[in-house]
Order: sequence, then C-alpha cells, then structure tokens
Amino acid sequence: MSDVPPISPSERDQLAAEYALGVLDASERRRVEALAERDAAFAAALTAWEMRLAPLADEIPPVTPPPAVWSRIDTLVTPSPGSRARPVAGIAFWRWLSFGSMALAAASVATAIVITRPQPPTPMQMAALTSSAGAPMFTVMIDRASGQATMMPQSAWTTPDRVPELWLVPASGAPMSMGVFDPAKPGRMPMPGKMMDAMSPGVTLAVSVEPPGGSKTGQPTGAVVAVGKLVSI
Amino acid sequence: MGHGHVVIEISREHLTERLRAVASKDKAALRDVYALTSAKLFGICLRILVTREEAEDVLQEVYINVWHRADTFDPARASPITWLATIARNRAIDRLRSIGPRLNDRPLEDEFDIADSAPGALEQMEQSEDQARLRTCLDRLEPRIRDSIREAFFGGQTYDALARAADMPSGTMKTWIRRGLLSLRECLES
Repeated sequence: MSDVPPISPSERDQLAAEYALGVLDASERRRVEALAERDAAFAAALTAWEMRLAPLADEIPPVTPPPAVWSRIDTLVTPSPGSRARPVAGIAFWRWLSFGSMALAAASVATAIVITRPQPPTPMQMAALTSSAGAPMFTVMIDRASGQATMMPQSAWTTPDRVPELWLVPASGAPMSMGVFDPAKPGRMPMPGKMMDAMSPGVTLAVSVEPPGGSKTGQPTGAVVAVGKLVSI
Repeated sequence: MGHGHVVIEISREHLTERLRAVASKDKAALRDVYALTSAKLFGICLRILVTREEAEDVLQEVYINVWHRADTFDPARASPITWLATIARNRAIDRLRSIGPRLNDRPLEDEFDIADSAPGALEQMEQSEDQARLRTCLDRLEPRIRDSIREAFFGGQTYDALARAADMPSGTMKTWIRRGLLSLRECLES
C-alpha cells in the first residue's frame, strides 16, 4: 500500500516540521501531502507544526492588494445554495490547510466556465483605515446602490468617555462627518446624497476620537486614530 | 493629547462568524473576509513570491478556495487569521516551487528586510502569547541557526537555495535547521 519506506516517529515529526517551515522541494512536498492523506496522526503533526510556526507570519507587514484582485474573485464565485457544511475530521482540516488547491482546481475552473455572462460592475468601494503605525483599524465598505456605508472594526477598541467618529475628507474643502459608530461591532451608516457625490475613489476617510454624540463643532476635534483612501472594488 | 487607553485585539469572533457565513455561500461574507484579511495575506504572498503578479494570482486562488471550502475551517484548531495565513503561505510556496529556480536565487530586497521590520506600538500590543513564546524559544537558538530558520520561513526557500545563499554545503544547512527545529519544539513544549 505504501510507496514510501517506513520511517520512525521522530523522522515523521521532522518531515512535518520541514514541510511547515517550507524547506522541502516540490516532490518532497507532494510526498508529505500523500502521507498526510492516509495518516491522521501525521496530518495532526503537520497541523501542530504549522500552528507552532504561524506566529512568525505576524511579523510580515500587511500590503493592500490592488482592487483588480477582488474584481476577479467576485466574478469567479457564485452562490450555490446546494452546498452543505460538513463535519471536519483531522485529515480534512489538514488537507484544506495544506493541500486544498489541488483538489479544488477543477471546481474553480468549472465555475469559471459556467460564468460567461458579463456581470454588471459592482458599485462598491472600500477603504482600509490604518493607524499611524500601519496597524489595520477599520474597514469601510461603501455600497452606492443602497447609499450605505458599512463600518467594520478590525480591532476591538475602547476609549473611556470617547466615541470614534468617521469623516470623509475631500481633496479640497472641510471634512464631512459620516457619524459616530460603535467600535465593538460592525454597523451601517446611511449616506446623504451630497456625501455620496463626494465619495469618489482616492478621497480620504478618517476616524477621530470625539466626545459622546460626536464632535460639537462639526469638525474633527480629537486625535485622528486611523486614516485610509477609498478604492473601487 | 490624552485620549484614553486604547486596547486593541483582533476581532476573532467576528471573523469566525463571517467565515461561517461564507460556508453557507454568502457572497457578502466573502467580501467582508476579504476586506478584513487580504492585506495580511497579500503581504505573506508578496514576501515569498516577490513579484506582484504572482502574489496577486495566489491571493485570488486562496479566496476562491476559501469560498469553496470555508466549511472545513474549525475554530477549535486555529484562529481564522492563522488558518487563512497558513493557506496563503502554503499556496505561495507551491507557486514558488512551480516557478522554478528563477526566483529562488533572488537577492533579498531591502523593502522586505525582516531584520528592520520592527513592529509598531499597536502591533506589539496585539502580539499574542503564542508569538511571545515562539520569539523566546527562537532567541534561545544559536544565532546562525535562528537566522536560517527565519530566512526559510519568510522566503519559503528550499534547503538547497538557503545553502547557496549562505555559501555552504546543503547538508550542513539541513543539519542546522533540523537541529534548530528539534530544539524549538522542545522549548515550545517545555
């Protein structure tokens, strides 16, 4: 049954570690994946190593991808209501972590072929607002069709006796308040038509910290904690 | 300008909930997951693949797969962001191998110099216990072994490519890294 000579438990763990670290060549990677496919204990060892090393990835600075990537994804996925969630076994979980793309390539291609009619352009815009240190703070999605902004906090946030307020900062002219929001959970904010007109790609959105109820002056008064530019997606 | 104490932590529950919605084929949920995580995943892909075109391709592949297989995500085994980051890294390494040695021999670009990428104050607050533990254990390794392991992780390079870059025999590199990984595991489990 096995095309691989038997190896000792310590060698197996070493192999799992090498796969997770990423030092194996392509054929060795396929061999490890084949081993994990038929051996749940090995699959678990592999996942354990991937989880051990995963915190290192937190050191890699985030880079916002160009809008075209989402457009392509958006075109390639279609809701298929027939799908069902399945219970996850050890191997299945690992297989997805490490091996999912191969089994799924066919499914993705099939989807791509089925979608032949052109989709209307999605009237969506988004801005990823980051702190001055570059940490992701909030994501704002603008849905032009419904005239609503969706604010998604990327971080849980507390400022005693202060509330965050979202601002649209046009290239020229004063910032316009889009309203205060609850930083603990995603929420929607309606956008008046005038604001929608100013909501073009490239404008800046910013969050400042204001007294409860929002800035009394109509302009940002507190510290600006996050800034980002609007892009079309 | 005392605007109070700001506590930051990644909203794990929110992302888990959104992934569950993706599993039931909620396209808006996929868009949310993308908005929340794509910058981190793109950073990982870029780090390994260097060229933007390849990194964009792999990023697209990752989210298409998330769409099809979000039901296999198990919050008991990994945080959603760790799960997604691991998928992205594995896909990027596979792409790097399929491109061949062209990129394996690239010089490290200054832009991505790990040694200089000290995390900002906010990111430091976000650092988890796991991260602190791994850092402590890595710090206990011999510096040259620690450096090799870090380079292997961040670049997704093979033993051969790492050995070439360090101008040493491949067997020596293999021995170092294997020894390092063993020590790392002992330390993490102690």
